[in-house]
Amino acid sequence: MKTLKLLTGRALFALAVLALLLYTIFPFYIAVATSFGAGTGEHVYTPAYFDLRNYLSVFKEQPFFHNILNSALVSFATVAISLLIAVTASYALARVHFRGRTLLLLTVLGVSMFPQVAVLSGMFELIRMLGLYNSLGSLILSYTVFSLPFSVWILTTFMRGIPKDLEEAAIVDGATPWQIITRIFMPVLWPALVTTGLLAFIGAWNEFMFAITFILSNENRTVPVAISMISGDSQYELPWGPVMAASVVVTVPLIALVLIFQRKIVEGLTAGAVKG
Amino acid sequence: MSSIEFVKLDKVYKGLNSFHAVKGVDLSINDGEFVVFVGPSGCGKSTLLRMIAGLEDISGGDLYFGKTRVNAMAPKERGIGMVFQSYALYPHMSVYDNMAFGLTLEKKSSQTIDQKVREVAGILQLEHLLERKPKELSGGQRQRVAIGRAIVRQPNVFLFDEPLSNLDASLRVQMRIEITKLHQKLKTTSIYVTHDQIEAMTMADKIVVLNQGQIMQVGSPLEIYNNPANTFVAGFMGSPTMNFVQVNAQGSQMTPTPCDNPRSFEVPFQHQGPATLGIRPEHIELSPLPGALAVECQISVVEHLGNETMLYLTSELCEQPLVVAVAGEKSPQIGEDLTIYLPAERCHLFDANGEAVTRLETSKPN
Ligand SMILES: Nc1ncnc2c1ncn2[C@@H]1O[C@H](COP(=O)(O)OP(=O)(O)OP(=O)(O)O)[C@@H](O)[C@H]1O
Ligand SMILES: [Mg+2]
Repeated sequence: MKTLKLLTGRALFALAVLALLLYTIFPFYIAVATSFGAGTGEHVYTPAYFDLRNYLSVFKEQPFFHNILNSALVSFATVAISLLIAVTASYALARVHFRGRTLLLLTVLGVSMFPQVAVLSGMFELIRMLGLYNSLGSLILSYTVFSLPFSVWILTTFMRGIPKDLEEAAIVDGATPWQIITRIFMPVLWPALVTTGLLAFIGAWNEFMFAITFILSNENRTVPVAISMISGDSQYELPWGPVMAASVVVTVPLIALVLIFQRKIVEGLTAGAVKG
Repeated sequence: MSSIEFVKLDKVYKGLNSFHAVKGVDLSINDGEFVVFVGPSGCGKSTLLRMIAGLEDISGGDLYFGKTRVNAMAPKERGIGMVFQSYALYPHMSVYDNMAFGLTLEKKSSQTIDQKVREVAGILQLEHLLERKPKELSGGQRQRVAIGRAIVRQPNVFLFDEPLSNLDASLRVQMRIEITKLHQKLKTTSIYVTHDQIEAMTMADKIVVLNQGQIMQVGSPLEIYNNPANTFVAGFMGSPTMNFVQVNAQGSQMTPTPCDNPRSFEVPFQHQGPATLGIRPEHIELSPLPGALAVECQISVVEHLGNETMLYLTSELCEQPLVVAVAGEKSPQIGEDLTIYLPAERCHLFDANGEAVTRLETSKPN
């Protein structure tokens, strides 16, 4: 009786896991299957054979390699700039006492709630004024603006969790504020930095609306827009094969990044800093 | 190495509810001295220590290291080493790097750094732990690393803020002895904050008793124990705490005030008016002594500590119980009647403001 109960329990659990897997992986499976299919027009459920035609066409018919480089440049620049600003800003917000600190922090949080469309026209004006229209700088600027509030908020919270003694020990050792940030806080906050950096990266890598609005010429486009521009043989046909091939190509770096850093994210580095 | 001079130091924490944490502290600390700050929680010990370190602004008064006024100097210019209660080791660095951090910031050559770190590691028996991270160390080892980090830069002054309060009792005793030995070896001026009076008594050359941001008494451990300057010090130092009896003094004749049938007795003091008489539990005798005041009491509580036994006695002398320490082998029963003897030369007398009355030199307490 007992074993039967155990067995049914196991079976139900396996079923639930299977359903969940199916539900989450199905779209990706279709994407991969379609990309390897020979056709261009329709979805493929089981590709008969591996066909790299779609992959070749993606790179042949548009400057897709160039687009990937653009995306990488924009994303890395966004991450670098927003982390630099976020770390220094959150140090001030978490550690330096000044008037209106809470108000400032709440404003930061409030700003992050605006949807993109709300600031699209304002951002467009700003970018025209700065002469960044149709250049990658426009994207770096706007993505940084959008990822900053979130990064600042997260890092401020983490930075508040660092014991004050740690900072004071560094001060007594003769560290300047910049050295405290770079030599003590950043290594201790490494998991938080990786997490916020990764989120900023994904946001920038996948962004579409700003990318299509601020960039005009084909060779300055980033990947999401480039994919949307892939056209079929006729106006009425959606070229699913190449689109999916392109999507697979640009998703792989993301997955790789997450896999590389996931251990870092999990690692609790602060353990043992203070009495454990 | 450096002496330290406090002149009317003041600290006011500004903010919504500003707080006067240190009030006009005057103190001089000699070169090479081991000074312990004790006092109840919140009395301003840490604040005072952090003012010396430069981690807290000085609101008023002057602080001198030797002849230099250091009020406006940054912590690193003052040449101090500090050990924090929480150790505050850098969690991402090895023991070696923790100790080397200050030296690398000073841009010392890697040879110098290596030599100094290894020398200190030798003194503190940390050689085999140099590659470990703080989280892989025990509490006592972490504490030693924290001390190592403070001494590796050869500071003029060591500051310790309750460094042993996170350790268990036996380790605390061991580290206490190690710190004392270290001080004897290095002879660096040290200031040590604690609220543990045993640490204060055993380690200090000079004890500073603080209360509510003010110095209550400065003196060697035995001075503080034998001649407390006021009722606060008398009650704070010593465990269990000193017994106090309200008396009315007429010359050297004392009459306990709460008594129903007052009788006076003689003590070696001269005073007029209401006063407080104090006697330590360990100085009360159970056998008759010439010149001692006999008091009949009843035992209300018995505490066995092993080496000694604490008796809480109700008597007509005062409302709160009198505490007496007796040898551990005795096992008195609750409710038993007992006569205790208060040796007059062991008594302390404090005037109505709680200040000590000077003892007349009749017979010295041994
Ligand atoms: N940043 C601050 N702002 C306002 N008041 C403070 C601040 N820091 C400390 N105080 C107050 O100053 C007083 C002294 O604090 P301090 O930390 O020096 O006490 P302490 O003697 O070290 O106590 P403990 O033994 O509990 O560590 C306390 O009453 C505390 O409430
Ligand atoms: Mg304290």
